[in-house]
Amino acid sequence: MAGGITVFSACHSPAGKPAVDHLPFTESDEETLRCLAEVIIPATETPGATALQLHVFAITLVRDCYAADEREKYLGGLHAFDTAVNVLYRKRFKDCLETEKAEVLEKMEEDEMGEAVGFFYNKTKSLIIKGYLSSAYVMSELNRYELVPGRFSGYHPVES
Amino acid sequence: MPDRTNKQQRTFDAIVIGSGISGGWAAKELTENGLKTLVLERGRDVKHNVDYPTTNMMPFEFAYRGELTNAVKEANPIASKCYAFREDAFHFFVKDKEHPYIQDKPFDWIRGYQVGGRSLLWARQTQRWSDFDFEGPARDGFAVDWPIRYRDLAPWYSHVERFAGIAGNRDGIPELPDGEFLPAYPLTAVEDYFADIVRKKFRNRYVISGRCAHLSKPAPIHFEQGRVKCMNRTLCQRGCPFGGYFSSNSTTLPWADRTGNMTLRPFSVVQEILYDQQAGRAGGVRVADAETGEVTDYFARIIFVNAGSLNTNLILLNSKSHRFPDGLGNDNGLLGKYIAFHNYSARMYAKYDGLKQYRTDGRTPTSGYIPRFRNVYRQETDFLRGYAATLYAGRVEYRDTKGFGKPLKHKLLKTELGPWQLGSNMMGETIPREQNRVYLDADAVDPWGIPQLRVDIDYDDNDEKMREDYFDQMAEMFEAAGFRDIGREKVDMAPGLDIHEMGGVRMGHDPRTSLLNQWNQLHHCKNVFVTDGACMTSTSTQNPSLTYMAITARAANHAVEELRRGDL
Repeated sequence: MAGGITVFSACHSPAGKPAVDHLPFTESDEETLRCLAEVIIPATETPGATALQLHVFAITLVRDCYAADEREKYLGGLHAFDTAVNVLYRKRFKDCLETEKAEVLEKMEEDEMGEAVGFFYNKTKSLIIKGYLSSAYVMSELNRYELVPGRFSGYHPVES
Repeated sequence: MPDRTNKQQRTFDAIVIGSGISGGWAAKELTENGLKTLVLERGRDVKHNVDYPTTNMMPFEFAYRGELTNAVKEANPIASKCYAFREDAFHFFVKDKEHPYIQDKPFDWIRGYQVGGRSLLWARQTQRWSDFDFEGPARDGFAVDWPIRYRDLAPWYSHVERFAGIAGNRDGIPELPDGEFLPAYPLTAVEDYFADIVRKKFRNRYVISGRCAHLSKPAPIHFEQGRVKCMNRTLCQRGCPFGGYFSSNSTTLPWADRTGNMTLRPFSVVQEILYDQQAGRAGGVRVADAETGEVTDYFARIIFVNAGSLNTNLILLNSKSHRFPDGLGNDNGLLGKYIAFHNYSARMYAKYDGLKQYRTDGRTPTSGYIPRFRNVYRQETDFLRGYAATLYAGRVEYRDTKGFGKPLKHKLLKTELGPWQLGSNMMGETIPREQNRVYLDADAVDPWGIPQLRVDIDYDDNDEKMREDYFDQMAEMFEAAGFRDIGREKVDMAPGLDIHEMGGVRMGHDPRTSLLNQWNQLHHCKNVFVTDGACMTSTSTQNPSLTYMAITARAANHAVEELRRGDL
């Protein structure tokens, strides 16, 4: 993009092989999911989706826990997403500028990209959020999970 | 059969078949009384703490965060219906393919084949029965009269409660007698509020803290068992490292082991009880090794059958001899019949806008409990008996998940408190009927050469009417408390998923119409005792495990007395 500001993308792929045995996801699918997850939960002063490997969590759940038809529908949605991004920007999601990625996410938030993409986005987003909130980092550092509460009150005052 | 060891080494004073919640109690009482006792368990050993692989895992240590893989779900359409069959505990459940049975009608048989059985997985609710329960069949004209009354069992309830550790309030309700309680778990603000409304506006209806087998404040006996205070983890299904709740694994079996009188033999599938025609009593049991298939006989003066209701029926049905061609003790042909269960097929929900100055903090191992109020003092409805219900209220936390990026990430760490949400589950008594039965298939056998069990059990019209009444009565109480958005949910579940299957070897006065006497001895084979759920003449509404424990302790001590007197 001539004359534009080169925005360093947090989506630079770390070198090496994919982190999971990702079939039926291709390496390219995994890269798309990694980049999408990073837009949903970006690195800030705290770790983001890539650092927490949330895309790996999403792939693991879709691969192992989804029923076959639901998994097919998810993959169909992922490929519809690829196509839709390509129609808009003539490139893959991972190569989009941050502004373009944000534009795509805005459209999906407003459910403006069709049923297949909508299904894919909603599933992915909820998996990424679930993976984030149940990650070792968040459960240890930000939102502490109590394995052993040792107490119960049914009259705990609500702080206003 | 191969005779690797001599008969003397395979001879004990007592044999207990099964190591679950009732078998554990039989083992404890018999060994404490000095009887050399062989405890046979068909599954693997599960040692307290040692064999609880998931017990201290954090949520993020589970690859699927608690979910099951599609492969596990597809391979286990029955077991995966159970709420506790999840990533952290599914290793304690029988997998569908391992132990086949035949459903004449849909029946979800949830099993745990390991030392401790389902006592690792139970919901730990422990309400006593009263004479309103024991007198039910005689008063309302179904099944047969129970040969025991509350006064027969009361001291044994106390005995097992003191040892197991039961938290509860002395509520003074005749329908739900008080016991030997550790301090109760408190209710939530809205559960208490609802309890007040119900007490003021409805006659003979109560909302109490559900009595439960948790050590809210351990007594010296519990420390002696190696157990300490329940730490409110509510991860009980994994096995508790504190021994905070009662299980055979944490409590009765280690206690029995310490007497030096227990021999625990896992991987021991009992094929049948051997009847000694000459002596006129049972002589022992035939066991197939679960792993090798090798068959060995064991001998004893008394045999306790605690295999779990339906498996107890299966073993007795398969114990055929010249004297008992239709199964041990089955002269009247009623063995396997009059099976009943609990009707859990209804739930209700509501919201409440008051008391928003409070929320819950920490976790509680119990909830509110509404004892049966229908048809207690007199017949009020066009259906027989009634239902108890759970009652729980907590505030749901919401997260705003709209958007993406930095704003979303920020919002996700904040939750908003919704109104109080209430839920209730019905626990209905079902009427034992002759056509609700289990029996042996003529051809199909399991991997150990035992005929497969056929299960032919269904709801009836009484259950349907009861559900409608539960909806109406709960709605009336919810409305009286000013709750809104009251929802009724008919739960589409087959019998069995309540995991309270009972009967088939019922107690009674008359050998012509029952299988067991008032001491749980087979009428026609007195040295065989059945004290698990199979012995139940009727089901009442209370979670049954506490009653199994009390019945077992009573029968075991009676057996010891008879042995001492030389009557057995």
